[in-house]
Amino acid sequence: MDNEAEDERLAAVRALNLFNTQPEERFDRVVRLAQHIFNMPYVALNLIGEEEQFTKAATGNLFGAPTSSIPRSQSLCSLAIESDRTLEITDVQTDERLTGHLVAEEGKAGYYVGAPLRSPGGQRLGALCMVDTEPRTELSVGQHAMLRDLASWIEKELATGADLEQGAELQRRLLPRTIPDLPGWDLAGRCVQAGAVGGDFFDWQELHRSGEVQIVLADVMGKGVQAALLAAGVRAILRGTTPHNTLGASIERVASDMDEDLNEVSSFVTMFAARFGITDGAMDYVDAGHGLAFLVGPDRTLRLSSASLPIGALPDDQWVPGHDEIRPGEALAVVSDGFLDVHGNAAAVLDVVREAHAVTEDAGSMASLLVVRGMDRQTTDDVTVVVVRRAAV
Amino acid sequence: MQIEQSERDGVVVLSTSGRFNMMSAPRVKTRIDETVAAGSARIVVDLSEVDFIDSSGLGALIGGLKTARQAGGDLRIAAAGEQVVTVLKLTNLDRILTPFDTVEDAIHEW
Repeated sequence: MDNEAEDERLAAVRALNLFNTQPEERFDRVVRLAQHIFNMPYVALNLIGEEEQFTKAATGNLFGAPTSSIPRSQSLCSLAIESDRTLEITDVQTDERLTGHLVAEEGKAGYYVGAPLRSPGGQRLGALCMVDTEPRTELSVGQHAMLRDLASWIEKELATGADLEQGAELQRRLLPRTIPDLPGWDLAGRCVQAGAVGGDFFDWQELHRSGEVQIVLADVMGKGVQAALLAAGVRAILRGTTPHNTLGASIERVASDMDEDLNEVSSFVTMFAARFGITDGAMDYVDAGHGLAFLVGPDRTLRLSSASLPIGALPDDQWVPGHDEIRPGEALAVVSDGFLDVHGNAAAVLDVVREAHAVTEDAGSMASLLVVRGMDRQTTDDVTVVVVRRAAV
Repeated sequence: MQIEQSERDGVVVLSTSGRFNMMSAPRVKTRIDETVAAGSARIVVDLSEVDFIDSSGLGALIGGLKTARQAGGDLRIAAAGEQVVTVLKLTNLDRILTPFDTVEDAIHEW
């Protein structure tokens, strides 16, 4: 293997992020199944890094136990990934290819077969291997095909993990990279991903012509790359239409342009969007079935709600904005629906927001505190928060 | 999640139980689609045994509602628990998915 190919291979292995991770049932079940089908004392899924082999899954510890590592020079799977073909060694002690190899000299293994595991890009990441303590006869053609099928299953699982990772990256890219510098105003946003990729995002946009700022927090129903792609669509349409339309018309535009995409997968989007003037704090807002937006300040605390449906729930719905203002010393906070799972109802979430406002001085620390309050041990949803604070006079 | 199907007065009642989430929602949606395709577009989803619904569950109900309405029927929900009602109210989806107290109410007022 030349250096360049090995570098690409190692990059693909690294992209898995599976070295030194805990066992996962999605891999364990395949090695168990292989052990059962082939009546083999030891089956393992091994990943081959630059210097070491990591055992991601294994049936027992006859050889490398699950989550253990050995130097690559002692690994037979390291030999198996030199070609796309399954490597079968019926008698480890006498096979010429293993003359001088530590495994042959150790004398514990009698038989080895390893099917290389490839990434979607064709890089060989490791092998699904089976080892017996005694020599065995060659697998039949049908058995080889079965082993290859099991290896393909693992390849699919490995690729799905990589897919999710890309989805998470896509979701991160939807978030704004800079914060507008507005005298008298302080903006902050957080989006903490909880494992699986979700469809949450927040955004803000300065409308230079009118001297207003628009903020939005949206949650696309669903998980994975599909939800992240729908979120990207919603964000792009909203950003494009916002400078030229009122808030209500902008949301209608998003709804009509996304209608087919959302229908096709039975998804919908809850969203809270607000537009406020930076001189007077006057605010238009639309609550498209989101329900968790709050105004908190020295004189009042309230939930901003309206009767609008989520986007994609019904065709041709309308989103008529409500009006309020962000007064000096007040904060507008929008949080994702995971807060409801943690705190039970909207009134309890309002208490959490009011407290976070009272004990912090700026939007950034208020948003960070809210993130902590939006998570508990069972959190599987993203936690997303947007805070707009207006300085007291 | 279990889905049991029965028919009363020309209305198909789908009784679900357990957690109505990302894992179970596609099965409910498929069952609603099959029911409408088989010619029954008046459907009541009995939620009395459902203790939790998430946005995927709501998505399945809304998708089913659209399918039923396109076929000239409707989809109603009955006996929703506290968590389900809270989520429906918060998302304003109770405007189009009106919760009926009982399956009998949902069928009776058709």
